[in-house]
Amino acid sequence: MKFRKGVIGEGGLYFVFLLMAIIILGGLYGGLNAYFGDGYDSRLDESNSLFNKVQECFIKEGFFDLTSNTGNYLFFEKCGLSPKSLEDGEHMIYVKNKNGIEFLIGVTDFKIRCFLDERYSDLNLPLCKVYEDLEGNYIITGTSQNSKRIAL
Amino acid sequence: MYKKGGTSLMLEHIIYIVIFISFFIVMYSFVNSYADRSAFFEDFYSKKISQAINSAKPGTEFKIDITPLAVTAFKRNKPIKDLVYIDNLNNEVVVSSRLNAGTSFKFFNDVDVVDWFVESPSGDSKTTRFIFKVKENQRNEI
Repeated sequence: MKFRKGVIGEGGLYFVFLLMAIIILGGLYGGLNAYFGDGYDSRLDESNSLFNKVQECFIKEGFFDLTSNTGNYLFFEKCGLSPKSLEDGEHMIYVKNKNGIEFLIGVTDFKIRCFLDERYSDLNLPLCKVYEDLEGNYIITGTSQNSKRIAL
Repeated sequence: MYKKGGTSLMLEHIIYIVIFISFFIVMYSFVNSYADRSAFFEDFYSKKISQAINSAKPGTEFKIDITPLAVTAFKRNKPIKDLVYIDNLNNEVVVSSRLNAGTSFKFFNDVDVVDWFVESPSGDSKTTRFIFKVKENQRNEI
């Protein structure tokens, strides 16, 4: 049987090497995650605010009683919502009134993405408010908007 | 009995460890420089201010406490008066606690935000508020 001096010591140093590599990589991951991490998730709050504005406006302006589509222009004018913000690819308003008249602003695909299981953990997916009243008026409002870092 | 080369093997590992420790110290200082959560506060307040604007009726005045943001900005020599900027043309709230960068968030309520300013009554960053009024939009975007 052959014994070699220093084998255990050398092996121990490789363990230190590995441990330090783990500490450094862990620190980097933690630090970068702390800085560039998910941040504050405001998607549901924003969807709720949007829903409140839409519902209030539809009741006030009688849009729930429409029997033909009036187009988006009238909606933006009467409801005081900004088309620039709502047609930016990160918002959706979908309403189907009791007469079957559909009204859509924003990303059509949100009607599907609003119901995906990953929506709570994936910030790129929208979180939505879904509502149906007793008369059969159906509303979905959703947003996937997140803050953007900009240079000044 | 002494084995030849044993000293150089030891030296090699000591150099490795010294390099690792130096690298760790440099990375720690880098990460630590961001540990004041300035990015988080920028993100949080841009969203909160947008949320306030979204739910506002024309004529409403807001006073929002932004002290944590001001404290981090103060450490980075950012002037307190430049912490928040409202871009009515693009419906954006821009919050910045750093000198050349910031965070923006859009609001959907079609209103104009006027008379906005950052107030620091005691003169330091510990009592800082963002004050603004919401008025009906005078521009025709549609």
